[in-house]
Amino acid sequence: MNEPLVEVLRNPIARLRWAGYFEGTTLILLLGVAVPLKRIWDMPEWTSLMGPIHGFAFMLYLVLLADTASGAGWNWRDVGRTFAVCFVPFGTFFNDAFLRRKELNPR
Amino acid sequence: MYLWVKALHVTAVIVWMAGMVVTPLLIAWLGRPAADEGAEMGKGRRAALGIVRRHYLVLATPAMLITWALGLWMAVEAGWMRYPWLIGKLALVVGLSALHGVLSGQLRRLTTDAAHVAPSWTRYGTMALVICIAIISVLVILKPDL
Repeated sequence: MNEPLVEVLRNPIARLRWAGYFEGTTLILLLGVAVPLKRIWDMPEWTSLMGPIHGFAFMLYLVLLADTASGAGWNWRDVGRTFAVCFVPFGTFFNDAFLRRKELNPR
Repeated sequence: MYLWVKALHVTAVIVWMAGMVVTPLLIAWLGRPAADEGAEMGKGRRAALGIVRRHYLVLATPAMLITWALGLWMAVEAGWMRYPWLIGKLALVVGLSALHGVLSGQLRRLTTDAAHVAPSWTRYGTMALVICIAIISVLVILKPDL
Protein backbone atom coordinates (compact mmCIF):
# COMPACT_ATOMS: atom_id res chain seq x y z
CA MET A 1 0.00 0.00 0.00
CA ASN A 2 1.54 3.30 -1.09
CA GLU A 3 -1.20 5.75 -0.10
CA PRO A 4 -0.39 8.63 2.24
CA LEU A 5 -0.86 7.78 5.91
CA VAL A 6 -3.83 10.13 6.30
CA GLU A 7 -5.69 8.36 3.50
CA VAL A 8 -4.94 5.02 5.11
CA LEU A 9 -6.28 6.17 8.46
CA ARG A 10 -9.49 7.42 6.84
CA ASN A 11 -10.17 4.14 5.03
CA PRO A 12 -11.69 1.50 7.35
CA ILE A 13 -10.44 -1.51 5.39
CA ALA A 14 -6.97 0.00 4.97
CA ARG A 15 -6.84 0.48 8.75
CA LEU A 16 -7.91 -3.13 9.23
CA ARG A 17 -5.24 -4.38 6.82
CA TRP A 18 -2.51 -2.51 8.67
CA ALA A 19 -3.85 -3.84 11.98
CA GLY A 20 -3.66 -7.31 10.44
CA TYR A 21 -0.01 -6.80 9.52
CA PHE A 22 0.73 -5.62 13.07
CA GLU A 23 -1.18 -8.47 14.72
CA GLY A 24 0.29 -11.08 12.41
CA THR A 25 3.81 -9.83 12.98
CA THR A 26 3.48 -9.79 16.76
CA LEU A 27 1.97 -13.30 16.71
CA ILE A 28 4.94 -14.61 14.72
CA LEU A 29 7.41 -12.86 17.04
CA LEU A 30 5.61 -14.22 20.09
CA LEU A 31 5.26 -17.83 18.94
CA GLY A 32 8.37 -18.04 16.78
CA VAL A 33 10.88 -16.08 18.85
CA ALA A 34 9.74 -15.27 22.38
CA VAL A 35 8.25 -18.66 23.28
CA PRO A 36 11.28 -20.68 22.04
CA LEU A 37 13.59 -18.28 23.90
CA LYS A 38 11.58 -18.93 27.05
CA ARG A 39 11.22 -22.71 26.69
CA ILE A 40 14.59 -23.63 25.22
CA TRP A 41 17.00 -20.97 26.49
CA ASP A 42 15.13 -20.10 29.74
CA MET A 43 14.69 -16.42 28.84
CA PRO A 44 11.13 -15.60 29.98
CA GLU A 45 11.55 -11.82 29.72
CA TRP A 46 10.85 -11.91 25.98
CA THR A 47 7.38 -13.41 26.45
CA SER A 48 6.75 -10.82 29.16
CA LEU A 49 7.54 -8.18 26.53
CA MET A 50 5.88 -9.70 23.46
CA GLY A 51 2.81 -11.03 25.24
CA PRO A 52 1.28 -7.64 26.11
CA ILE A 53 2.33 -6.15 22.76
CA HIS A 54 0.56 -8.98 20.93
CA GLY A 55 -2.41 -8.61 23.27
CA PHE A 56 -2.70 -4.94 22.31
CA ALA A 57 -2.31 -5.79 18.62
CA PHE A 58 -5.03 -8.45 18.87
CA MET A 59 -7.40 -6.04 20.59
CA LEU A 60 -6.74 -3.37 17.96
CA TYR A 61 -7.43 -5.87 15.17
CA LEU A 62 -10.66 -6.99 16.85
CA VAL A 63 -11.92 -3.42 17.33
CA LEU A 64 -11.11 -2.42 13.74
CA LEU A 65 -12.72 -5.62 12.42
CA ALA A 66 -15.90 -4.83 14.37
CA ASP A 67 -15.79 -1.23 13.14
CA THR A 68 -15.25 -2.18 9.50
CA ALA A 69 -17.76 -5.03 9.43
CA SER A 70 -20.47 -3.06 11.23
CA GLY A 71 -19.95 0.03 9.09
CA ALA A 72 -20.09 -1.88 5.80
CA GLY A 73 -22.68 -4.53 6.72
CA TRP A 74 -20.46 -7.59 6.25
CA ASN A 75 -22.07 -11.02 6.46
CA TRP A 76 -21.20 -13.30 9.36
CA ARG A 77 -19.10 -15.63 7.19
CA ASP A 78 -16.74 -12.81 6.21
CA VAL A 79 -16.57 -11.60 9.80
CA GLY A 80 -15.86 -15.11 11.09
CA ARG A 81 -13.17 -15.73 8.51
CA THR A 82 -11.39 -12.43 9.15
CA PHE A 83 -11.56 -13.05 12.90
CA ALA A 84 -10.38 -16.68 12.76
CA VAL A 85 -7.24 -15.92 10.74
CA CYS A 86 -5.77 -13.81 13.53
CA PHE A 87 -5.25 -16.96 15.62
CA VAL A 88 -3.17 -18.64 12.91
CA PRO A 89 0.49 -17.73 12.24
CA PHE A 90 0.65 -15.80 8.95
CA GLY A 91 -3.16 -15.98 8.82
CA THR A 92 -3.72 -12.24 8.57
CA PHE A 93 -1.16 -12.03 5.76
CA PHE A 94 -2.89 -14.79 3.79
CA ASN A 95 -6.23 -13.04 4.37
CA ASP A 96 -4.93 -9.70 3.06
CA ALA A 97 -5.93 -10.53 -0.53
CA PHE A 98 -9.52 -11.04 0.65
CA LEU A 99 -9.50 -7.65 2.40
CA ARG A 100 -8.00 -6.04 -0.69
CA ARG A 101 -10.93 -7.40 -2.77
CA LYS A 102 -13.32 -6.06 -0.10
CA GLU A 103 -11.65 -2.66 -0.33
CA LEU A 104 -12.26 -2.57 -4.08
CA ASN A 105 -15.81 -3.96 -3.71
CA PRO A 106 -17.10 -2.81 -0.30
CA ARG A 107 -20.21 -5.01 -0.04
CA MET B 1 5.04 4.50 39.18
CA TYR B 2 2.46 1.70 39.41
CA LEU B 3 -0.05 3.90 41.28
CA TRP B 4 0.37 6.74 38.78
CA VAL B 5 -0.26 4.32 35.92
CA LYS B 6 -3.29 2.95 37.79
CA ALA B 7 -4.67 6.48 38.26
CA LEU B 8 -4.27 7.22 34.56
CA HIS B 9 -5.80 3.85 33.70
CA VAL B 10 -8.89 4.57 35.82
CA THR B 11 -9.19 8.04 34.25
CA ALA B 12 -9.05 6.54 30.78
CA VAL B 13 -11.65 3.91 31.77
CA ILE B 14 -14.04 6.60 33.01
CA VAL B 15 -13.70 8.64 29.81
CA TRP B 16 -14.09 5.52 27.63
CA MET B 17 -17.14 4.26 29.49
CA ALA B 18 -18.72 7.72 29.59
CA GLY B 19 -18.48 7.85 25.82
CA MET B 20 -19.72 4.29 25.32
CA VAL B 21 -22.63 4.28 27.75
CA VAL B 22 -24.45 7.19 26.11
CA THR B 23 -23.76 6.20 22.49
CA PRO B 24 -26.21 3.26 22.08
CA LEU B 25 -29.00 5.45 23.43
CA LEU B 26 -28.15 8.26 21.02
CA ILE B 27 -27.89 5.83 18.11
CA ALA B 28 -31.24 4.25 18.99
CA TRP B 29 -32.88 7.68 19.41
CA LEU B 30 -31.33 9.62 16.52
CA GLY B 31 -30.74 6.70 14.17
CA ARG B 32 -34.36 6.08 13.28
CA PRO B 33 -36.36 8.51 11.18
CA ALA B 34 -39.27 10.29 12.84
CA ALA B 35 -42.80 9.46 11.72
CA ASP B 36 -42.93 12.50 9.43
CA GLU B 37 -39.51 11.96 7.83
CA GLY B 38 -40.34 9.01 5.61
CA ALA B 39 -37.88 6.16 5.06
CA GLU B 40 -34.70 8.24 5.28
CA MET B 41 -33.22 10.03 8.26
CA GLY B 42 -33.53 13.82 8.32
CA LYS B 43 -30.48 16.07 7.92
CA GLY B 44 -30.82 17.34 11.49
CA ARG B 45 -30.58 13.84 12.92
CA ARG B 46 -27.60 12.99 10.71
CA ALA B 47 -25.85 16.20 11.76
CA ALA B 48 -26.43 15.34 15.43
CA LEU B 49 -25.05 11.84 14.86
CA GLY B 50 -22.06 13.45 13.15
CA ILE B 51 -21.32 15.37 16.35
CA VAL B 52 -21.68 12.18 18.39
CA ARG B 53 -19.33 10.40 15.99
CA ARG B 54 -16.66 13.12 16.24
CA HIS B 55 -16.71 13.03 20.04
CA TYR B 56 -16.61 9.22 19.97
CA LEU B 57 -13.50 9.30 17.75
CA VAL B 58 -11.74 12.09 19.64
CA LEU B 59 -12.50 11.01 23.23
CA ALA B 60 -13.78 7.46 23.63
CA THR B 61 -11.48 5.74 21.12
CA PRO B 62 -8.17 7.21 22.40
CA ALA B 63 -9.37 6.52 25.95
CA MET B 64 -9.95 2.87 25.03
CA LEU B 65 -6.44 2.56 23.56
CA ILE B 66 -4.89 4.16 26.66
CA THR B 67 -6.97 1.89 28.91
CA TRP B 68 -5.62 -1.18 27.12
CA ALA B 69 -2.00 -0.02 27.04
CA LEU B 70 -1.86 0.94 30.71
CA GLY B 71 -3.91 -2.06 31.81
CA LEU B 72 -1.61 -4.51 30.06
CA TRP B 73 1.44 -2.79 31.57
CA MET B 74 -0.03 -3.11 35.08
CA ALA B 75 -1.00 -6.73 34.51
CA VAL B 76 2.56 -7.65 33.55
CA GLU B 77 4.27 -5.39 36.10
CA ALA B 78 2.27 -6.72 39.06
CA GLY B 79 2.04 -10.29 37.81
CA TRP B 80 -1.75 -10.30 37.64
CA MET B 81 -1.97 -12.41 34.48
CA ARG B 82 -2.11 -15.71 36.38
CA TYR B 83 -5.12 -14.66 38.47
CA PRO B 84 -8.59 -15.87 37.31
CA TRP B 85 -10.32 -12.58 38.18
CA LEU B 86 -8.14 -10.75 35.63
CA ILE B 87 -8.81 -13.37 32.97
CA GLY B 88 -12.52 -12.87 33.55
CA LYS B 89 -12.10 -9.10 33.42
CA LEU B 90 -10.06 -9.35 30.21
CA ALA B 91 -12.76 -11.45 28.55
CA LEU B 92 -15.37 -8.80 29.39
CA VAL B 93 -13.15 -5.93 28.27
CA VAL B 94 -12.47 -7.70 24.96
CA GLY B 95 -16.24 -7.88 24.52
CA LEU B 96 -16.61 -4.19 25.38
CA SER B 97 -13.87 -3.34 22.90
CA ALA B 98 -15.62 -5.28 20.16
CA LEU B 99 -18.84 -3.41 21.01
CA HIS B 100 -16.89 -0.15 20.80
CA GLY B 101 -15.90 -1.08 17.26
CA VAL B 102 -19.46 -2.02 16.32
CA LEU B 103 -20.82 1.29 17.65
CA SER B 104 -18.10 3.17 15.76
CA GLY B 105 -19.09 1.40 12.56
CA GLN B 106 -22.76 2.11 13.12
CA LEU B 107 -22.04 5.81 13.69
CA ARG B 108 -20.07 5.96 10.45
CA ARG B 109 -22.77 4.16 8.50
CA LEU B 110 -25.57 6.30 9.94
CA THR B 111 -23.76 9.52 9.02
CA THR B 112 -22.86 8.43 5.48
CA ASP B 113 -25.85 6.33 4.41
CA ALA B 114 -29.19 8.16 4.69
CA ALA B 115 -31.12 4.92 4.12
CA HIS B 116 -29.53 3.06 7.04
CA VAL B 117 -31.46 2.94 10.30
CA ALA B 118 -30.15 2.00 13.71
CA PRO B 119 -30.46 -1.72 14.48
CA SER B 120 -33.00 -2.57 17.17
CA TRP B 121 -30.41 -4.09 19.55
CA THR B 122 -28.93 -0.63 20.20
CA ARG B 123 -31.85 0.03 22.53
CA TYR B 124 -30.38 -2.50 24.95
CA GLY B 125 -26.74 -1.53 24.49
CA THR B 126 -26.56 0.88 27.41
CA MET B 127 -28.05 -1.59 29.88
CA ALA B 128 -25.67 -4.31 28.70
CA LEU B 129 -22.76 -1.92 29.21
CA VAL B 130 -23.85 -1.03 32.73
CA ILE B 131 -24.08 -4.72 33.66
CA CYS B 132 -20.59 -5.37 32.25
CA ILE B 133 -19.18 -2.40 34.17
CA ALA B 134 -20.74 -3.72 37.40
CA ILE B 135 -19.25 -7.20 36.90
CA ILE B 136 -15.82 -5.77 36.06
CA SER B 137 -15.91 -3.57 39.16
CA VAL B 138 -16.73 -6.57 41.36
CA LEU B 139 -13.89 -8.59 39.81
CA VAL B 140 -11.34 -5.78 40.19
CA ILE B 141 -12.22 -4.78 43.76
CA LEU B 142 -13.06 -8.15 45.29
CA LYS B 143 -10.56 -10.15 43.19
CA PRO B 144 -12.45 -13.39 43.87
CA ASP B 145 -10.78 -16.79 43.60
CA LEU B 146 -12.89 -18.17 40.73
